[in-house]
Amino acid sequence: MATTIEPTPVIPPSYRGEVTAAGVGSGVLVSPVILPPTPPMEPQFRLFNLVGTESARPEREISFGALQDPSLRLLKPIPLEVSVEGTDVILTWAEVDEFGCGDNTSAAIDDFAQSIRELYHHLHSEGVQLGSDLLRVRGILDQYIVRRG
Amino acid sequence: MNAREFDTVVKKLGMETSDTKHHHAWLVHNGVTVVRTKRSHGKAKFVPERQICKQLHVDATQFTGLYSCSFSKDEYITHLIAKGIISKPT
Repeated sequence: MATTIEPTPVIPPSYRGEVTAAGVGSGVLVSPVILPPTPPMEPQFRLFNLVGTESARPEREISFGALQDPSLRLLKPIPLEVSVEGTDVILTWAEVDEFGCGDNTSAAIDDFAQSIRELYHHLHSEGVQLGSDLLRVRGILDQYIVRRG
Repeated sequence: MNAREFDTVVKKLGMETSDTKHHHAWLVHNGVTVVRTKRSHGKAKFVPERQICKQLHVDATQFTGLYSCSFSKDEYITHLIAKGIISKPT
């Protein structure tokens, strides 16, 4: 004789009973705490309309860390200003007046990497006497780049 | 600024040049390297005027004077001395 099994009703979990004063799952329920109303939040951002504005400031900045020279080690990222002139992207390290440029940001980064390694090696060449400005440039380079062992 | 103007200024100032990934130019005054600049290879390559002027310690007008011959090498050296890039002769 066939027996009919009544379907077990699905009871939604009681979240109120999950967290109690005696601990999770203790079975001791407490009344929900009614929180005081919170003041309306101030907006965390503002929108600026940049369309049609002219600015001498760089569009953005990036941190350079891809020194393409196995003999050199970068101690900290180099801050670069990014600007666009015509169809070319220019990356400028203002502190030492060094730059790299290219058809796009990636090409400009490669160009800058080459520039900075060539500059480093030249300023550290034996027998080269440097003027005050290039000594300053070399000093700043030494804060960012060192020779490997 | 284009590559030809850059090369004209480099030649006029008698800068030492070296070619690696870039065309580098170094101004050596009394045995001391005082100024450096560079451009990419290729005549049609973009030459960023503002950045190169900063490396040469001149403004755009002075750079124009350098390649149009209204600003001589001697005047440029005097300008670098005034800016403290070259030590005053004793």
